[in-house]
Amino acid sequence: MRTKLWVISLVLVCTLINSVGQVFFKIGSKTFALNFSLFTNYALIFGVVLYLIGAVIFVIALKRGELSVLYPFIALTFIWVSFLSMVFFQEIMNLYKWLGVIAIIIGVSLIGKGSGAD
Amino acid sequence: MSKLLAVVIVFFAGIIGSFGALFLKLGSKNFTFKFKRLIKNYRLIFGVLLYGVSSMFFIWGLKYGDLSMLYPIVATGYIWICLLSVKVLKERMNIWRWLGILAILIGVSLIGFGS
Repeated sequence: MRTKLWVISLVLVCTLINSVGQVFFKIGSKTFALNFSLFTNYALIFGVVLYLIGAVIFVIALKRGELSVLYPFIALTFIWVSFLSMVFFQEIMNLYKWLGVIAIIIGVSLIGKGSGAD
Repeated sequence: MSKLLAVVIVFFAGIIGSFGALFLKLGSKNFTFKFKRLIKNYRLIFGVLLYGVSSMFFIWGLKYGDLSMLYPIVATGYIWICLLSVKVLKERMNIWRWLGILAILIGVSLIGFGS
C-alpha cells in the first residue's frame, strides 16, 4: 500500500493539534492533584479533548496508510512543542534544539521520499 | 540508581507504546464513528489502552530522569514500530525510510540534549 500525500498531511494536522494539547497539559499540570479539582482543571480537560481529536484524525489516517510511514511524522510534534514552549513558557531555543529541529525535518522528508507517495 | 530506573521505565514505555501503535493500525481498518461498532473494535481499544499505559510509564520515568536522557530512548520507539510493521503488517522498509528514522532519532535526541 503506498501512502498518499493527503494522508500524510492528516498526520501533520494531528501533530499540530497534539502539540497544542501538550501545552494545555503542561498548563494544567501546574494545578494537578488527584482529587475533584481535576474536574475544574479546564486546561487539562481541554488538553485531553485535543488529544482525543488528534487521535481520531491519526486513526483515520492509519486506515489509509502504512504505519511505518505515518508514525514517524508524529516526531513533528517535538518541533511544534519546542516553538510553542518559546511562546507560552519562555523556554529558549538553543543550538541543540535547532539542530534537532533540522534533523527531524530531514528525517520526515526522507520518510516522505521513501513512502512512495504520489 | 534512580536514573537507571528511569531509563528502564521509559524503555518499556517505548515498547508498550509501539505495540499500542500497532493495534491502533490494526483497529483502524474497522474504524467508524458509529458508537455501537466502535466499542466492539477491541484492537483499537487495546491500542488506546496500551498507549495510555505507555504514557503513564513515561510520566513516571520523568520523575527520576530528565528529557536529555529520556528523549533518545523514546525515539527508539520509532525503530520498534518499523520492525513491528515489517513483521506483523508486512510493510516494506527501504533505505530512505531507515535513513529517515535515523535522522529523527538524532533529531529527537538533540532536542532532548537541548532541553
